[in-house]
Amino acid sequence: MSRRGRVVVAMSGGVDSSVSAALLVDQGYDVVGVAMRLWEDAESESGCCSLDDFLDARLVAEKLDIPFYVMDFREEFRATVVANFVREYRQGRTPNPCVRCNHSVKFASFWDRARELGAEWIATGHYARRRDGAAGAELWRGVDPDKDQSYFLFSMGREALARTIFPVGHMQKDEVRAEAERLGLPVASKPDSQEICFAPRGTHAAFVEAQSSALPIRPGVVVDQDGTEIGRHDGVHRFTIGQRRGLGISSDRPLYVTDIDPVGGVVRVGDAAAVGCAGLSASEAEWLGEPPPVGAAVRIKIRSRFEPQSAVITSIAGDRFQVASDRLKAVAPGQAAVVYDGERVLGGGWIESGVAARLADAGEVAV
Amino acid sequence: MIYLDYNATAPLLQPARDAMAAAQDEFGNASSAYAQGRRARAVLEGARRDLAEIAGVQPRDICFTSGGTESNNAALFGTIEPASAHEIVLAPHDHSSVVESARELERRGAKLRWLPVDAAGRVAAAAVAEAISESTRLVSVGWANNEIGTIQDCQAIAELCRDRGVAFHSDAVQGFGKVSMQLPDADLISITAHKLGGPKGIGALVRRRDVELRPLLFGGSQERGWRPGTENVVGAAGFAAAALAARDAGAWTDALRERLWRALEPIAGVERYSPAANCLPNTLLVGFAGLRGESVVAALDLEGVAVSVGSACAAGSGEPSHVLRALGYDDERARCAVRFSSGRATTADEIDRAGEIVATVVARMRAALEPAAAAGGAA
Repeated sequence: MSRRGRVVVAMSGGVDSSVSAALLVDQGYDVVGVAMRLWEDAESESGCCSLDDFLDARLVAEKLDIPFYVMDFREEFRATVVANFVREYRQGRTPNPCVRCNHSVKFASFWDRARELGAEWIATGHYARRRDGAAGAELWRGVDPDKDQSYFLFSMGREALARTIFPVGHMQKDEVRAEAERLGLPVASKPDSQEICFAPRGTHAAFVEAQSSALPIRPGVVVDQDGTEIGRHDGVHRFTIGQRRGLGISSDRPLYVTDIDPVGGVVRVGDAAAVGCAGLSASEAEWLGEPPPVGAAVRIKIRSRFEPQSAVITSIAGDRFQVASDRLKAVAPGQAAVVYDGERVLGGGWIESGVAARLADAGEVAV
Repeated sequence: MIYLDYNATAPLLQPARDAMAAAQDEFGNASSAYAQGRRARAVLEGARRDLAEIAGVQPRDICFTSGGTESNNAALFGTIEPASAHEIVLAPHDHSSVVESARELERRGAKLRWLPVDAAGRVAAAAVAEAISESTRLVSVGWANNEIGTIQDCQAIAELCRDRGVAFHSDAVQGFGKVSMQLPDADLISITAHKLGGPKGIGALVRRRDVELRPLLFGGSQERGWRPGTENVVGAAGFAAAALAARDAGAWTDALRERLWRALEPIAGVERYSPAANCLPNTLLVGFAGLRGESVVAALDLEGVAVSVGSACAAGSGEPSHVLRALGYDDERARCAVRFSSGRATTADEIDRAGEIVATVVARMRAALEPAAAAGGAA
C-alpha cells in the first residue's frame, strides 16, 4: 500500500486528467484510473465518451502502469444532467450541464464508486484548487485565469471537496501540456474540449428537439419591449437571455433577448440597455461552509465566460439568496451564480431571475 | 494473481505451445504443390484428424475458421438467404456473435423467432418444436451458455430438428471440453481453440451433415471452398494439441464450482444465477445486491482476482447482461452479475483464497458507502 493512499482519477483521455494521473503517480499515491461513460452517440467514434477517448485514456494508464477501468454512469447522467438540460431549455432557461454533472455524477456517483474501490481520494483534471482551511476544505480558483474551472464546482459539496485532489489547479495550461510532453503522454497535443459533451456547439436546439418527442415543442412569437409582435420563432428552447444572433429579425440596431415566457411562448427582445440588471436572485443555494452574511461584499460570476464582478449579498433565506450589482448583464435563469470572496468560492446557486434595473429600487422582485 | 475468467480465455497449454513451435518450422503454404507445402499440409490434416477423433466427428466435417465468432457468423449467414424471408429460431441469451448475426440478417429481411427461456436459462425442446414453422431454415441453440453456464439438451433439439427437416446449429464454444469432448449431434457446430488452452485465432465450424452452406469469404478453395484463405497451420496444430490435452485431463467435476459457492453463500445479499444442475462445471454467475458487477470486478482486480461481469464480448459496454435480461431479471439485478469461471489449473486453495477475498471486498465496498448514506449522501 502506498504511503499516500489510494486515489481514483477520473480520466477522460484529455491532457488535463492524463497529467493529473501522472502527477499523482509521481507524488506516491496508489493511483487507479476510471473513465466515466456518461453518454453515447451510437454513430460517433470520436467526441466525448467515444471509443477514441477511452482508448487514449487507456494508453495513458498503460504508460503510467496504473489499473484502469471504464465505468458506466449513463443512467445517472441521463436521469439528472440530460433530463435537466432538456427541461430547462424547454422552460426558456439556459442550463449548465457541466455544473449539474459535477454535482450529481462526478462528485456523487463517481465518489461512491471510488470509495467502493477503496479510495481515500478522488482526483479530476479541473483547474481549481482545494485548500484546507481552519474551518474545513476550501475551493479556490485555478491559477490559470483563462482555464479556471472553479465556477463549475460550486455545488460539489464540502464532504466531497475535502477528499478531492485537483493536481493541475496550481498550473498554467501550457505547463500542463509541457508536462504531458515531458512524460511522453500520447495526449500532449490533443485539443481542449470546451463543448457540452452530448450536444456539441450549435446543436443544442436539435438535441432538445430530438429528446422532446413525448411533449412536442411549440412555436411562438418574438415581441419588442412594448409587446408588439415583430417575428415568430420555432420554440423558446432556441433562445437564451442576452442572445443576439439567430433571432430571425431584421433591425437597424442590435437586438438582444431580454425575457423568455415559456408558457405563452413569447420571446421579448430589446436594445443593449434592456439586458442590464441590478442584481439577481438564485435558488438551490449550496455553500462550502457558512453562507456569507447579508451585506457582505463579494464577487459574482453568472456564466462560464464572465469575469466575476463586485456584488453585495442582499438577502439569504433558506436555499435562496439575492445579490445586488450594477455590473451584471444578460442574467440568464438556469445558469449558475457563483459567489467568490476574492479567489475563493464561497458557494452559489441557480439563477431564478435577474433583478431588472428599473425595478430594483422599488423592490418589486419576488424571490 | 488468481485467474478465474477461463470462460473469456485460458492460458496456452504447454503441449499446444510445443505443437505450435514445431509447426512454425513448416513454413510452406499448405496448398502448395512442393515438399514444404506438403509438409505443412500434413501438419494441418494431422491436426484435423486428431481433432475429429476427439470430437467424435469425421475429419471432412471440420472447417477451420478464425474462431467462435466467425464460426457463428458463418453458420447463420451461410444458411439463411435474407431476402427470401427465411426464419431463424434462436435463443435470446446465446452469445452475441449468434444474436447479433441474427439481428443483422433480420435487418436484411430474414425473420427471427425467439425461443422462451426459463429463469435458469433452459430452452425446452417442446418450445423449439412449437417455434419451428414452414419458413424455418435454421434452429440455433448454444450448447452451454458462457455467462450463466446452463447446458442445453442439444440431443433432444437435434432429434426434433431432424424430424422436421430443419438445420440445427449449436454454438459449442463453451461446451466443448467442459460438457464433453464429444460434440452434440447438431448439423453445424461452432468451436474454438483458446477456451481449451489452445491459441487464439483459430476455431472451427463443424458440418456434420450436408447442410447447404454458402461461404462467408470468397477467393480460394481452401477448406473445401467453405473458408478460403491460407490455412492457419500453426493454429490448427495448437488447437488439436490443446484438445488432446483436454481429453487426457479427463472429465470435469462440479467440485470447485460448489466449493466457491459455499464460500460465497454466507455473504449478505448474494444471489446465485447459475443453476446447480446442468451447468458448466467451472462457471458460477452470482450477484451481490446493490453492488454493480463492474465495480466488483474492478475491486477484485485491485486485489489480484481476475473475474468478469460476463462475456468479454460485452464487457465495457456497460450494458446490463443481455443473458440475464433474457432470463427475466430486471436491469438492476442484471447489472450486479459477476462471473467466476475456473480452469483445469485452478486449485482448491485458489478457490478458497478467492472466496475470502470476495467476502472481504464485498464487505469493504458496502462499508465504504455506509457513512455517506448516514450523512444523507455526498453532496
